[in-house]
Amino acid sequence: MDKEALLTNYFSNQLTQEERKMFDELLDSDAEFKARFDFEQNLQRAIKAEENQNVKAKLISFEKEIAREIPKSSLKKSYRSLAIAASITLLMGLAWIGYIDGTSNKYEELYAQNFQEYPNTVYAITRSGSEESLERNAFVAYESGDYDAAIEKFEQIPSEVKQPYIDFFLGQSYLNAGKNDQAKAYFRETIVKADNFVAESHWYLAMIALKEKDITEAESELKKLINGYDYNKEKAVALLKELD
Amino acid sequence: MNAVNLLHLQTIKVHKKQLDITLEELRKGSDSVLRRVYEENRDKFLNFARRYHLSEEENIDIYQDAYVIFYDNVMSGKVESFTSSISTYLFGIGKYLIFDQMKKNKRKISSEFDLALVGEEDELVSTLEMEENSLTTEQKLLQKYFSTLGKQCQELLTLFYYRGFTIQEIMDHATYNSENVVKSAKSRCMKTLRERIAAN
Repeated sequence: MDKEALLTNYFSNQLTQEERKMFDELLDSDAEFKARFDFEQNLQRAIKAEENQNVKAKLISFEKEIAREIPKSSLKKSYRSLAIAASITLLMGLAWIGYIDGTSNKYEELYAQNFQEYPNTVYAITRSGSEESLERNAFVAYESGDYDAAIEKFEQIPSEVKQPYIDFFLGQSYLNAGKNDQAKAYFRETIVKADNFVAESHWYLAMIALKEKDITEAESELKKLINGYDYNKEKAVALLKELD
Repeated sequence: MNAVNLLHLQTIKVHKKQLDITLEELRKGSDSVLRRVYEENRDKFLNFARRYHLSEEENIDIYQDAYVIFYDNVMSGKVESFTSSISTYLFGIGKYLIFDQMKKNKRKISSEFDLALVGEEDELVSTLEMEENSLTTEQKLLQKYFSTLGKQCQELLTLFYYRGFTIQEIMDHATYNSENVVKSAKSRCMKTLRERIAAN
């Protein structure tokens, strides 16, 4: 088979196994062949970029049309101002209750304002089939909000294959399942042992302290976070000020 | 096999058939199909993306980029048949793009957020091509001079390099008389392109 045909078959995904071998050998040994291949591959990349831009432009125009087709914007606006008015009333009410009830409500509210479940950022679940691991199942449970199941599976991961970030997500699962003590233990473990999620662990320890109205502890964790890390720094500074 | 299972199986078959048709339709490259698939998966994707706390604008942008990558792979024949639903492909690609975006926003999220942890590749996505790097100088030059070629050359080269058509398929699609005619037309186009770049 000539070189021309090899290149053609490569770009139309038609190389047989044998041809693929010839192809690879030529790439290594024949500088002219390599140069031709590089040129064509670069051209392919350039054309793809062009076509992809065209598709993206079409999608942007679809998006604009979709936005136009939903004519609820005017409706939304009036709802929005209503909603704003309602929240102001609610806030005033809450402020009043907070005033009567002393400061304890304030901490609950600060907790509610600041707490967010940490998303699974470490494990891509879409990976198909072959590896039905405990870790995968644990993260599937975690992502679907079934924290008890997540805990059970995370806990079963044998220590020799346990990734350093698992403790952090165990902490998250316990926290979301309402088990603060275990959550604290795992966050502290993460701070001592892991290279990642240390700042995040300080943040969530502060959150737990806030939930438990242990203000000294919350302040201490927030200060550690602010002094050492960038994660949620602005929020931490603002929160610390509120607690003062 | 009991009736429920049988019914289930039939549902799957019907479902699969519909998907295959869509793949064929997608390959034809019509705008209406492009839009239908865009709309069908949009809300599902945005709901999925929202849990990562990016802005809605970023989520829409990511959805579009995921769709572009998916479409590119359908076009180039990397997706030969749907082993999963379209939304699964989009989620798989989208997840990588979301992590990427989080990495770009790093300072806003965390200074020590290590995305290397994400590394383990999703098998489905790993069969796809996800080129996101910007073009090299040479590729930009090629793009520039490609657009100066005649319409017929542009179409032929796009069918070959973007759509992954074989010479035979190009012959059928664009009514050339023989494969040799396609081959020599392609050589001429490439020659012109080379000459224009050399004269740059």
